[in-house]
Amino acid sequence: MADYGIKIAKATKDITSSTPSDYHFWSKYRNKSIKYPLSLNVTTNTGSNPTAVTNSYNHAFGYIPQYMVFVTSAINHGGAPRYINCDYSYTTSYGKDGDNREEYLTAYATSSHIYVSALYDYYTPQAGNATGLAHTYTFDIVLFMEEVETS
Amino acid sequence: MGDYGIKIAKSGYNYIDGDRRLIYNSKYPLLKIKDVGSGTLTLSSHAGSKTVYTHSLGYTPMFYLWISYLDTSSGSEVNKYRMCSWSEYLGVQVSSYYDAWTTTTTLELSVYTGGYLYGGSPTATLDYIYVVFYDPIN
Repeated sequence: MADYGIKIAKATKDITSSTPSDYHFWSKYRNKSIKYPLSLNVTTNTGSNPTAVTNSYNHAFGYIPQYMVFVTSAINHGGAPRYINCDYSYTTSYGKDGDNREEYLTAYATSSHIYVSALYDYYTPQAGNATGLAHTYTFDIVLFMEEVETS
Repeated sequence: MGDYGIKIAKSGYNYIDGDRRLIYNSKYPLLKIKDVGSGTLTLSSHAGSKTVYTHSLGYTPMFYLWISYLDTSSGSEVNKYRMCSWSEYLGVQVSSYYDAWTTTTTLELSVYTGGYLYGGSPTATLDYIYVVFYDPIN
């Protein structure tokens, strides 16, 4: 039983090929399987020198899964908000008073949770501090069955 | 018929050892690749943007995009690929940005290297590789 399993070859490719990219599926190799898609909302803090706000979901997988996280930026970067993949940060160009806006959108996973966080503020050098801007982000998340670590 | 389907365990494990020990579980859909490709982005005044790919799916699909970048010391292209989106703080509140995002019809790429701060080439050409999946992110 040295050679067994399931192979599904691409059109025009032969099942005897030894090239993994010739296959749609080959049970010898790992894939990416969508185990759990979800969305999490985060509403940013206002006030002086705000800290990032974090939201999480208890996936309870018992291992660190691979994941993808997408979110729409609050700042019009290049003329429109961007539906980007995390992690993401952006700082606008200086205003005439040296002021600018910045946002930080991050994600990470543990063996029990997926975490997303957001920070969105307006910095004024005259005041020497940042003021939080209220915004609600929706983080779209896909948790894969496959774990980050190989074992 | 509450539990049926196909499970394929990793070598050395049993299919009942849990999802982390599986190569495949038919309970979960696999990512399906719509297209892969590569290209170049030529910068103008240290920045550039382009539509990388038109998928015309009518929804925002999952994707990966990797791109080479400019070294902040030498200003020359580093022929290694980093996954977008990412940014790097360069100093005096200026950062470089290598951003990729999707619309319901396209995959977009935008780069700002902030190269004027360190002498990077204003017209450098960067290489990118992308994968667009059929599967929607939401």
